[in-house]
Amino acid sequence: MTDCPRGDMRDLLPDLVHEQLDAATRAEVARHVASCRACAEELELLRSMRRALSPAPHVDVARIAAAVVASRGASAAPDVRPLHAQQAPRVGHRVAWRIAAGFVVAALALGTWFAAQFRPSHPPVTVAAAPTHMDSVPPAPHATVAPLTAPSHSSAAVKTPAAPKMLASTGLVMDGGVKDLSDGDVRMLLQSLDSLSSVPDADPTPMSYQIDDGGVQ
Amino acid sequence: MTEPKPTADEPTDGALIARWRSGDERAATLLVERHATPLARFVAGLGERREVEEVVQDTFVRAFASLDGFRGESSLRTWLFTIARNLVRDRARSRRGARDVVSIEEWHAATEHDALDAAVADETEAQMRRAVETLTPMQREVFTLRVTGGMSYKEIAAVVSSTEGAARVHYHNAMRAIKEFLDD
Repeated sequence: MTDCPRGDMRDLLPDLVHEQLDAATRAEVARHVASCRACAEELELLRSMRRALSPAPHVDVARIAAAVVASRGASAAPDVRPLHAQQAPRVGHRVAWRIAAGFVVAALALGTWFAAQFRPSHPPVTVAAAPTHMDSVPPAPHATVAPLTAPSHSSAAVKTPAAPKMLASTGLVMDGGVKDLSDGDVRMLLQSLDSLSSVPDADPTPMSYQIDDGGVQ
Repeated sequence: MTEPKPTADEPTDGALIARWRSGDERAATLLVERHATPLARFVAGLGERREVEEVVQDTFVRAFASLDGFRGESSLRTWLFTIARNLVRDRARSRRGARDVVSIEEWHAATEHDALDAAVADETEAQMRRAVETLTPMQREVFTLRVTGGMSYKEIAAVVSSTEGAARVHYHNAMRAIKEFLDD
């Protein structure tokens, strides 16, 4: 079997078989087929193919229609599979993933918050305070110098004098207030404060002290 | 397919869809009556064996469940055929090992039309069915839609998710392959 070079005509042959052409086109195609052996053979082949392939299997239209109507409600008919059975798991997966993502985000946020709240602060002021005043009972101002090396907020320096502590084992006394300072101490304190950087270091400077019965070394 | 085209007296698919949306269940019956047989023929033509009716029913149930989202950009017929094609493909994929999708000839021999068909079928028709079996899945779909369904290339392209030009090429390649098979 050969092919007709008139592709436009060959394209219309199935439509001719199915009687889907308007009168003018049908007449044109019929004239061509009458004069073209290849198209005549192809047309006959198409008719035979249609006959051979077209036996329609029986379907129960009423049953299908009933299933469609039944599926309109919340549940489908007993012999009807759930609607969009394949899509449903996909939607469920999507929701599950979103919930999981929410938990992860919440956990991260909580962790970050806890880390911010309970981050180990700079070394205790009392220890960093001042080795030079260990055995004396100096006023606290010297203790306020310690934060200079620590990446603490400036408020730490203010709080320190207000929280007198005493280390029993060392006899280190942290007491007193600004009012107890001498003029020289106040000047020194102010100079120290002036030397404070407004931007604290990102990381605290490592400090190591050895504490024993003799005090801080 | 050529059968479902409504006459001047019959409501169009769009009108029936509107009636269904407004609660008229009879509209569903009319739409099923109009499209079920061509759909069954198409499904059978793709090689689906025992479950033709189930596929057709599933097609309608899925289509009607999504009818609210149907905007009419394609015809209902094209949409139904697309759903049916996907269902057949899904079944073929999931049951490939079970041999549920069989040759057209095998299906043909197993249907209740056997008696009648056996009487009229000759060796040429059997050869034709065998020729279709040699086609690629895409060629087979396009050829079935074109020859037994009478669909235009535009409609076929919508059903098989391709282009009009590609559908035309698939059809002509299929026709060439069938001719070569029959000439051998």
